[in-house]
Amino acid sequence: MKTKDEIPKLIQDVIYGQDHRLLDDDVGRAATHLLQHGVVDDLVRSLIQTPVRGHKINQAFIGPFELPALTHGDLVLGIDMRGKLIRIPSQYFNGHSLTVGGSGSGKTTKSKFLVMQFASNVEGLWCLDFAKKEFAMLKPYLARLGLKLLVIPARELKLNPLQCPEHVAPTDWAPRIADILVNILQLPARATKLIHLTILKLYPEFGISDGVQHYPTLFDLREAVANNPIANHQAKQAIVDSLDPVLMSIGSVLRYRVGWNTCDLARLKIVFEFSGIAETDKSLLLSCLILSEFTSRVAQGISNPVMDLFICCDEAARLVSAANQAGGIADLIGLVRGTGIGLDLSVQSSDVANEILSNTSSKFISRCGSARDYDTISGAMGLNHEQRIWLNTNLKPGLFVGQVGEGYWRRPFVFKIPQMNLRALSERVIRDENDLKELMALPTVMADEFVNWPSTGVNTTDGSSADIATSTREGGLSDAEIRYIFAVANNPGSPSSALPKLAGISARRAQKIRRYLVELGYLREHKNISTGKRGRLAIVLEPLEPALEIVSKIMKGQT
Amino acid sequence: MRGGYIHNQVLVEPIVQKVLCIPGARVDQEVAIRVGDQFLYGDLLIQVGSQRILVEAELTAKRIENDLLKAAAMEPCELWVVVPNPLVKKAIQRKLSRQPIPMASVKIFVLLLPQTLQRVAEFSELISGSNDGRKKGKTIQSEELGVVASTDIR
Repeated sequence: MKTKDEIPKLIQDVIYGQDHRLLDDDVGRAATHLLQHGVVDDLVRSLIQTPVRGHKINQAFIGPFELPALTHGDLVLGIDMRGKLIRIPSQYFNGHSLTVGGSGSGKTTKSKFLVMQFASNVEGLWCLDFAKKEFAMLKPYLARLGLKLLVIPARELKLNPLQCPEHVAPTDWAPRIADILVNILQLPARATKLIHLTILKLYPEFGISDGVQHYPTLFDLREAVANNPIANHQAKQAIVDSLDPVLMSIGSVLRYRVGWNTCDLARLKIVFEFSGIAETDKSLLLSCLILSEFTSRVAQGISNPVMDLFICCDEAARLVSAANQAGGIADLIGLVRGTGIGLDLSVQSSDVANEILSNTSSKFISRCGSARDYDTISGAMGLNHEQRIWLNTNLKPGLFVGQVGEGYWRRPFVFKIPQMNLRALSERVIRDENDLKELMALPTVMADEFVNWPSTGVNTTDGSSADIATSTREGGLSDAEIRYIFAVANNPGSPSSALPKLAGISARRAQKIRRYLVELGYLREHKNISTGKRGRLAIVLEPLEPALEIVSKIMKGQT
Repeated sequence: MRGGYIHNQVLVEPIVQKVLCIPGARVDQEVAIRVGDQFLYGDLLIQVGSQRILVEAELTAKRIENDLLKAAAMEPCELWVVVPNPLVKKAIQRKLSRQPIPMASVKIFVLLLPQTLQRVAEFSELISGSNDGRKKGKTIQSEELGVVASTDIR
């Protein structure tokens, strides 16, 4: 094999030109063809050497990254180092994308820049605000384009995870949702079987197998599990303990037998604001939305279609974290690929699950805070040592290094995102009642028992929340919890330290149960009460109305 | 892009970068326009919603007839002819005043670069939201964005 010095200069230029796709136009191809046939005159030489020389000169000014040969497409990704537009087909995002950059590096600006363009190109657009409220401000700007962006807080959603997506059989949906619940709620393996079995039993009970469309809710699932006398106690307790906080927190979202159909939502442009809810709740709602839509598409036999739903997740750190595989979307992302759903994830660090790195074809990195972030993403993007060193000192807010996963040009390149002139809007403008009207008009069926249930005040610890709890959870307390309530009711004024023995449970467990019952509104704590002449001040528990009702009901039942 | 350094880098690029800062604006370079049996190329086509602007950078008054033909074929809302200095501006204005304008609906502006950039900024502010049938005075753009025009059309 010849060394580089032995190859003629002209041939070296041809190799360079072909490598950088400088000779792909008609003239370049003709010149190459002539050269292959031995025609080498001044004209051929000039046709080959001129673009190569120009490229080398340009390259000398822009550092170790090449100028991108991405000039065609309906999406402007940004501006290259020469100020030229970088264009790619928006369908490249069908293979998902990952953006890593520290706080203030321009991730959200990039997401907004892309969302403004995608809004015109795709039918459905879901912007998920996990930590901040950023996407809502795009609403008036999209209105200029004749596009309506709906902004909905997480607690206004109407979803039922047990509702089968369109075209999906209940028997197919049951194991999927059971797995999702187990992963998100971090339940033991044994609970998977119990949840799966319970859902399969609930569907015939509600007539789902006979064509009835009124599905059981997660409340029904919780009740069915809690009241199952033959179920494994630990699995049962784990499910109940994990479901309760979720039902208390976002019960208003989950109280529908028929919630919003994701196929309907996939035709709208929506900002989901998840910033005000717990991480577990976020994971549950996200999985419910994405998995339902994905499963429905798979059931319809859709495979590798044109992307018609773009999902943009800002600050998705917890969802993609390698340390939090359970609640994340790492499992989903590989499945979502090829169903016409494009997922754009933005995170602050490289703490990203391997599945996410493997299944995001386009990757972007901006200024990061640690060398580990640069190393991980550089490795995933295939940067060489020189390029990796360049990242340390040259990236600044709004400047990204990217690599697109589709098309013929797969080399990393540098680009800038223009700073859009967006103005912050007042809550009144963002929270337009007309938006919610449009969504509320989508068909839903609320479970009968929740018709008079207020959507607010669920988390309060006054009597009203206890009413809610008793109306929804009657008989759902565990034996130990009921024994504890009895101990409190039958021993008024006793210090909390005496109750474990009276209830027949350990002190540590009694402490957990006490906090739990106080949170639900069954008991009220009175702290620093003196119950004797000596010793430290005690906590005395007062049974509230719901607790007394349970006691009287059970006493009546026994008589 | 066809054209030299002043045409591409000095006149066209700043406009492209300015347009990119407008939320929702779309800019296309070297747009093919069919005029009769042949294709001519417009330097820039800016689109914001339903508004379309054809931008032509000209260093002399020689090709202004071509620009008018392109505008007549494409029928944008406005044609902006961007020039490098006042001399060229006057020359083009004189030439335009001497010959018939083939399209009445297209407004023609001959602008220097700073004027063009200013017009880009103002143009985006003047675009209001679509009429979605809401009551008069409830338009969010007019209230919140300080926009002069509003969607009060019933």
